[in-house]
Amino acid sequence: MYIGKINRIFDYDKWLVRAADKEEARDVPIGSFIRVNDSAIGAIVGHIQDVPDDYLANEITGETSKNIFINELGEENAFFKVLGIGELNSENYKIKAPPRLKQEVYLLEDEDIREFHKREGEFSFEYYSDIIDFEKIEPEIIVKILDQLEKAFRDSDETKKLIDALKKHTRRIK
Amino acid sequence: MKNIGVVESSEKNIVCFITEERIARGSFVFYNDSELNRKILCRIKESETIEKIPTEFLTASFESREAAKRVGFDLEDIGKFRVHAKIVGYFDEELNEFINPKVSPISGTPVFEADSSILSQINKKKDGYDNSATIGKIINSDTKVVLDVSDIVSTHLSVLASTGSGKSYTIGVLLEEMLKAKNGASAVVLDPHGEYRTLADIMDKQKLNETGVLEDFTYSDGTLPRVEVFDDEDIKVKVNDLTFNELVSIIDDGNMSSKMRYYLRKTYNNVRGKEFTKEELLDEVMGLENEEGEKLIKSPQHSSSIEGIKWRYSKNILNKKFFQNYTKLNLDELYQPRKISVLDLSDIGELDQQLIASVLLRKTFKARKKTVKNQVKSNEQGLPYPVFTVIEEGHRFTPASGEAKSKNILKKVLSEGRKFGVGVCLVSQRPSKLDSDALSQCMTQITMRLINPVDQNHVKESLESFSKELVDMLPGLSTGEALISGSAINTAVSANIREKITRHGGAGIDDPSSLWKADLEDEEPDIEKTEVEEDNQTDLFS
Repeated sequence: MYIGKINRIFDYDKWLVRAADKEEARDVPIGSFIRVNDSAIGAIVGHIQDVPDDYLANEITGETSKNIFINELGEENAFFKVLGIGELNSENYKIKAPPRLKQEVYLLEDEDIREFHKREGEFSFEYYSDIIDFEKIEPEIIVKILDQLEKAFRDSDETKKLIDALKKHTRRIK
Repeated sequence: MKNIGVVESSEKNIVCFITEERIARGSFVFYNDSELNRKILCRIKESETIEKIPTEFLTASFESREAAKRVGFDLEDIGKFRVHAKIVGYFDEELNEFINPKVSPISGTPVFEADSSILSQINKKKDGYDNSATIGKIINSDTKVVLDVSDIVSTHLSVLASTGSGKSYTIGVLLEEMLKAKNGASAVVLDPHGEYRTLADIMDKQKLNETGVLEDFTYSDGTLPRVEVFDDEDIKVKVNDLTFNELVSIIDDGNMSSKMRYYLRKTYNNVRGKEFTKEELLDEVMGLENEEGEKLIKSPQHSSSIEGIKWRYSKNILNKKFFQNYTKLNLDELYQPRKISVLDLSDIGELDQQLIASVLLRKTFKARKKTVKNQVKSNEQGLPYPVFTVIEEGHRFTPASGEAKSKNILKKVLSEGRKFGVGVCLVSQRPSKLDSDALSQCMTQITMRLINPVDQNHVKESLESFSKELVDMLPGLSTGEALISGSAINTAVSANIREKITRHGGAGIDDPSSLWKADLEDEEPDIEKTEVEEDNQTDLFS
């Protein structure tokens, strides 16, 4: 599913995606996996929503004036904060280069999630220690990513056990 | 030289290095100090893993290492250890001891496994040389542990261990070494449990030959060492040999009045220097007179005191079979070079054991002192060679609290004996019940497994050379392993005690169930003979 476009690059692995207008795009849960075009893979780690300043009108009544929100125009922005975690078809979870601005961003399907998280035919989540060691995101966000992984691997009991152990470990981190 | 790690840091005489090897606590490593141009020996205190697999992965549900690898944990670090080692120092050949370098190694300095060339510097003596006792090997090593016998004999030894840890076995090994031709020691063992009788195996030429050690025990004149066991029938104390204080301590039950002591002292002074029998001494008490020539036993004022002396003396001396008018405790019979005398005290009461020890030690100390000072008179007995006395159940003879008849003389020997070549080995399975002063005089220590923290603390507080580091090693020792520290060795070392040549007399019962069952089978009734006869007389159940 198309969810938006790259709006800003903060760092090689920290991107901002402007959400598409569609309501369902804005309802994408934290922890979901995305791909940028056919290469870069990331995980949604936050939402930002705001109203552009331009849409605050100034009402003048009598001798006073005040700013009012004109909501009937329906203008608002929604953004996804994305943590880059790797590239499709890569041997390791490294990002060679950040995506370009305005590149299209799509939600990753379960099958692609499973494919991305396999090495030598076995489940792999090797970038986990990088996230933990460098404190890239809050532990509760990591748990949400693991929730999405668990959904994708719902048919594999062994993988689910491993993910469950990881969640417990993550919750213990302070 | 096997490079096993690299120094990470050092602080307060402790070196911290990183290694992939699993190194046992108590073993040795070294590093090269380039400025001093010396090998610096270090003893391993403890080690810890650098990284660990998260607890959540330590489950039987999946293979932990594989799971950790799949989530990005670096297994290389999981296989590494951070090891803390105490700096012992470099060996100075002139001073014959280890010297602390007082400077720390720099980070990145390679660390090596200590080989035999450096480990052998731990010993003060070389294996097989005179005054050496090879009692085992350094744990996890082929290097022998060789004690300095001259140090043990002159500055005393303690052997402390919980029951069943092997202390009697270890003493047996030490005594075997002392009997070898390189030493030919003169020793006595006070044996409250009769455990050392089997040392007599050392006189079995065939056994020594079969074990391949005959040459080690054969003296230059072709003879073998001797072991003589003295039972309670053989241990006799001549009353005439007792000092006044010993006499009082034997008969005093705690209720002897000053008046009684005064009359006893008067009696003793009357017979001092003369030969008298135990009956004659009592006659002397009964014959005491006042200034008017009246016998005190007939005087209403004094008769109770005389009677009091009489029944105490009768109870504690006259009626005791080991107080005689002759002695079988001649020093020159007990202490002879190339001989061990075992006094089997197992059939003698504890209080009497203390008395025997008191008399023996006093006579020995006096004889050695006079010999060394060249003051032996023609009618006195000297001892022209150093002697060694093993005191099993040492806490009975010099207890931490309470009195024992042997305590004072034993403490005197421990504090002054080194000047006159009277060495003592104190043995105990309850060090906390051993007098601290006495224990502190034992400058060499063989400490085996000690589990009781009270005992551990007592050892640590009594012995200067016993650090917390050594105390922490004690519970981890297995049977037959010992921590050896003190003056007879250059640095504390963990050792495996070698196998005894003679049989071990102190083993427990291996298979009590079989013995109990055997006894039960003897008592089982013969069922065939107890069949109930058919009752032909009545028809109760018809």
